[in-house]
Amino acid sequence: MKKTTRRNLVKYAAVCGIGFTVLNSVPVVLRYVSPSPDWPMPKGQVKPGPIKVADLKDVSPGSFTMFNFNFGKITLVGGLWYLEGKVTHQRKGATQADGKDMGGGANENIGLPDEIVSYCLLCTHLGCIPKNWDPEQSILTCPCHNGMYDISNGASVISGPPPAAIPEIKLEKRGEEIWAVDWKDLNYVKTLDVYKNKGAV
Amino acid sequence: MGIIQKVIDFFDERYFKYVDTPGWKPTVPNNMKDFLEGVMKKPIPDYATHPMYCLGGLAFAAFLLQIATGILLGMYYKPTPEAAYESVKFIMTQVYMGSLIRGLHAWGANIFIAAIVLHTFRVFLTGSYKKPRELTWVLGVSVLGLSLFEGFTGYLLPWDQLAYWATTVGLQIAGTVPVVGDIIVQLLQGGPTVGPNTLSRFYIIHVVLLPLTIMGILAIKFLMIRRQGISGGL
Ligand code: HEM
Ligand code: FES
Repeated sequence: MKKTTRRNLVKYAAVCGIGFTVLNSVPVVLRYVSPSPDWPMPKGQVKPGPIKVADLKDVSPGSFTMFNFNFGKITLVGGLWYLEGKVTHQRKGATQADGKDMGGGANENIGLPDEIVSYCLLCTHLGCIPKNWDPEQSILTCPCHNGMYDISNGASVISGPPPAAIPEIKLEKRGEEIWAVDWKDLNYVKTLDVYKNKGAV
Repeated sequence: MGIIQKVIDFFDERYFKYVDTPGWKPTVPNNMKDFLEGVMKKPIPDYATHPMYCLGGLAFAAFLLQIATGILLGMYYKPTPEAAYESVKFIMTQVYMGSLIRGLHAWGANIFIAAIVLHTFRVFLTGSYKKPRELTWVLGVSVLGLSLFEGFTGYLLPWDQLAYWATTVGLQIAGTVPVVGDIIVQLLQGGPTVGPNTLSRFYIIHVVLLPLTIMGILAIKFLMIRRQGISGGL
């Protein structure tokens, strides 16, 4: 073995010191350049997960507002209604090719009246945003090919080319706020071709 | 003696035929071991271990740090009036260790300039600019000037009030230079006031033009220093 001279000792100490510093910076730099979940989303996009859609005090019978949400894949537009009159959450005309009933059923929103409902504004026909709202008849019309959805009755299709109802969004009362928490029926959303093709599920 | 011969002699005396250390082979070796030994084992005189003689090395280390941190900043920085300030804010608040990297770059810029200025004083006070080192001095002063310019162009990039007005004032000062002042301002500003074009120009000057130029000058400078050795002590 080489004799350890004072010169060599200093040399090794220096090399080790510099090496240690450089090696230590590697994980920092790697983390600096890699994406972080805290980064703000690009304009118009929202982060995946439940999202606040309105303050309870801001919705009243007859109101219709829109919001952005993201249940894990892409940002979509949702509609929030406080309907007047009789409301069901039952989808009609949502039977699939194999005859299976995808009817939807009861109100599953937590802590909110039946009349507050939310549906995804992505037309099941070709993916436009249906947002022409007629409160008198409770009909939502898609501007692209006049598809019409009956929002008081599970957003069932009442005329036009859309093959099925737009899917319902599950709401929850959190404090004095309304939150969109998830698809009410993910299996139903997965049967909608437009949703699959857009990468929404 | 023809003028060409004079030029050749000038460079020969200062570089090609100049050897300061007896026994040190300045020729390009034909194998890597000799090459590395030439690079690593060149003896330096005792007086050159004084801290004053480390300032040039400190400046170079700071320059390397500026390149490393500058590249990292460039991964998020966006050189447009709409996005510049936001992207710097983003680096400061969202990116992991972003404020550290920006801090290193901003402070490193000061250390870099300070080191070069002090190094220049040392070279001046020890008379190291004298023959055969006149060219090394000229290259060094060019680097000093370019570095100040590098600091000036970098300062605009955060695109905040401080940056904007510092550049406006700085360019107005440049505009008072006789004869060429106006042309300089036009070229740098790229418009009637400091605006989008100024930002683009300063950005490309700051991250590409000047760093490459400085690197090129430093490469030549280091070759010359190697050949000429460290000038004698006081
Ligand atoms: C020669 C050495 C350099 C000096 C003296 C220098 C100086 C500066 C200064 C003073 C700033 C403004 C700092 C602030 O206020 O935050 C800055 C910003 C910046 N520099 Fe440099 N710089 C150098 C090299 C480089 C290199 C080589 C690059 C890239 C390859 C670079 C990229 C940047 C970027 C992207 C910014 C904007 C980000 C920010 O303001 O924090 N710099 N530089
Ligand atoms: S896309 Fe909505 S009706 Fe055709």
